[in-house]
Amino acid sequence: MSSEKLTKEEAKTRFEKMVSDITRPMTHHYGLNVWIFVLLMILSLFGYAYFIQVRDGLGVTGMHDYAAWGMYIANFVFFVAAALVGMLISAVLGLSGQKWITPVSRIAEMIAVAFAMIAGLVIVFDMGRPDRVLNVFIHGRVQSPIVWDLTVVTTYTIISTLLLVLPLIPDMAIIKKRLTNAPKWQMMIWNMLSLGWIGTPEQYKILHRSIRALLILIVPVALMIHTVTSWLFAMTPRAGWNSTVFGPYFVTGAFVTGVAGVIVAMYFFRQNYKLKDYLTDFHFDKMGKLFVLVAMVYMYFNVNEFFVPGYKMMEGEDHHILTLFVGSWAGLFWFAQIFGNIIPMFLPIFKFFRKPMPLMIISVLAVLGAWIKRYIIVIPGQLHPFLPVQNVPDKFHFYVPTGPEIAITLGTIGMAITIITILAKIFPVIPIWEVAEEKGIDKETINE
Amino acid sequence: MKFNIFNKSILTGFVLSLAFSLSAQDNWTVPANESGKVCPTPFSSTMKMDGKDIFNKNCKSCHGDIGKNNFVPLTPEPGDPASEKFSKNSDGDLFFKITNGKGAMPKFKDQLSESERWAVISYIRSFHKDYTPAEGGNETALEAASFTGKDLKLFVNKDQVNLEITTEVQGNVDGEMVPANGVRVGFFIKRNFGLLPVCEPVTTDDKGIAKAKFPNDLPGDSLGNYNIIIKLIDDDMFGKVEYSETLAWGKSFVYDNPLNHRAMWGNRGNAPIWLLLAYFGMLLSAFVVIGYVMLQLKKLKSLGKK
Repeated sequence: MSSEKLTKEEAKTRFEKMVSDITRPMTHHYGLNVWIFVLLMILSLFGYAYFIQVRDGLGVTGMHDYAAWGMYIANFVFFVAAALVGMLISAVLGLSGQKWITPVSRIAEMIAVAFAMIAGLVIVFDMGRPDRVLNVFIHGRVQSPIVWDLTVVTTYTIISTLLLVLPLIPDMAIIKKRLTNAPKWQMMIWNMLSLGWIGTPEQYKILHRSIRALLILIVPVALMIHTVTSWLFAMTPRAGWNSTVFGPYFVTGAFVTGVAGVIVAMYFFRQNYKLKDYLTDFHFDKMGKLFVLVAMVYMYFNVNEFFVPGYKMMEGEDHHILTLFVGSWAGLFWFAQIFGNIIPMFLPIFKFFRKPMPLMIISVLAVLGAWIKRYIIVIPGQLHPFLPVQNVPDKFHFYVPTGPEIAITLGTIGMAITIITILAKIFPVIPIWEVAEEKGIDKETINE
Repeated sequence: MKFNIFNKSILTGFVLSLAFSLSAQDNWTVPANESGKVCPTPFSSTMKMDGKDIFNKNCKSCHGDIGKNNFVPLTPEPGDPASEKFSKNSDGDLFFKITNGKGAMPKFKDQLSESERWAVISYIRSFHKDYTPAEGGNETALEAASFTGKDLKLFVNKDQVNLEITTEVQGNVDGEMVPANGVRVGFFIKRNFGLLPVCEPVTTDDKGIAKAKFPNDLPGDSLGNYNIIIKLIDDDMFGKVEYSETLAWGKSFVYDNPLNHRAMWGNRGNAPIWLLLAYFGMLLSAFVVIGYVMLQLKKLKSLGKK
């Protein structure tokens, strides 16, 4: 919070400039048509692939009796990981009093909401026919991690949505008074979500109290969502999954994925939305330092995950570890480890690599590495079951995703990005009222 | 000395492995003295039936069903025991091969007794059309089953106190029912997957009597009932002669299905209480907070209207 005292006039001018800076991309659509076209192409490709899958069944995928979980589940784990960042930025850093996260928090929440929503859908696509979802409710047992996962993903999506919507309330009131030329449906949404905000002290008190309650609630729920996702694997005695550190391993891995995702989104919005004054080099610098921290913690669990079984080399585990480190999966494994963990842990230690552009490049590679990491967690272990089946076809020792499978997976990523695009189009990506308050603009000016 | 032993073991190992690799290429040769071995008792249908059970338990997993050529495609092939590859072996050859094994074929020396191994051979032989029993061995019928009468009948007398059953066997000799001497009688209890022999088959004495004492600690159904079966063992000679009855001689046994208890593996109605509490407790707490926030939002909205 700035200590300088602004005059009424100065505050008003500054605030109006800020609002117009942040809301300009909402009314000016540079290149949006092209972007929407690309997304629509991806989505229609998805639609066609999904039609084929529903018509012909899951046989159109590369999954079989050995690798019964394939790219879909790997993608699901990635989505859950990406969704976790909302909690890290808003709750962990926010509650501990880190002020610099204010302009970043909404981007983090948008990513969280989009990825959490689609994570649930990915599971539905993995089930083949969509009506199979009902079986989870008809036959689901409370003892099954799959039921826990479904519960906690849904709960997390609801809380994340609320955490996106609540800090929007004052912004909605600000925008509806200024962007009066917007289409009617947009005005309706803003008006509805502003909840009649007029900025009385009581309203502030209620808003802060509600946000705080949700921020506290989301910490355990977010830890649960990814721990339970890891239990889908760790609750089976399969080599490569049978691990006691899988919960924290997944959670810390998710932090790396999430931070990288937020940096990419920050860079994108900073460039395309012309928000250099709000998403400054300072913020990238802070995110870079956070990146190093989360990557170090993740490395700690990575070492535990591989060194402990690697020292013992128990039957089953030995084969798994060798195929990852020097065998057929070594290429993907080392890509994921180097770009997904080692580089984010070392390079941003140097100031140069915490500048927006280098940090963004490191983050893009880290996101790619994170996706691949989920792929090699889910698939290799399944290809060598403890009890080999007699006369098993040779192809069961491999898993190669098919065209429809890849198209559906791409489609889910397209869906998440579409949601973020829409959210960023009808809502400001920077929380106006919070940033204004930090810049020392008084509440009266904000709510005028 | 140490060095010598070491040297020797290497040499032996080398020779053995050489022998092994040679024998793997060649046919499986059996020493002459082993090849001429024959079964000390003649093959009987009982033996054949025993052999079938033993075969199904120990051999079928690789050799498949005899005569159906559905053995597992390993290298070298295990082969179908009905094939010529097997039938051209002498009884002694088969016995040696089953006893000692080679490569993927396990050795059954310690797994199966000699008589069990012969039983398997008697079963395999029943598929070889041109097989003639070796000389001096298995031509004559079992000595035990020396009674020559027909239409044998069982008369059963139960001693409820001592759980003892006395069986009198009679047969028709020249139109007259006389006690059947030297006939083997089996005493069994019917279980889910077959007949449990209560004792070794008992051979009738000259009064045609065979006795067996039943144990008192075998589990029956919930009322302690089990089904006993008494039958003549050599049914190929006498036809099927059998007596069965349900007796309450066993111990009451009520099966306690673990699925009916609250456990992690139980069905959905049997989830452990602690898990239900944890699951619904956490879910409820989360939604109480969410509900609280919704109420706050309602309040916030009403404040704006004033």
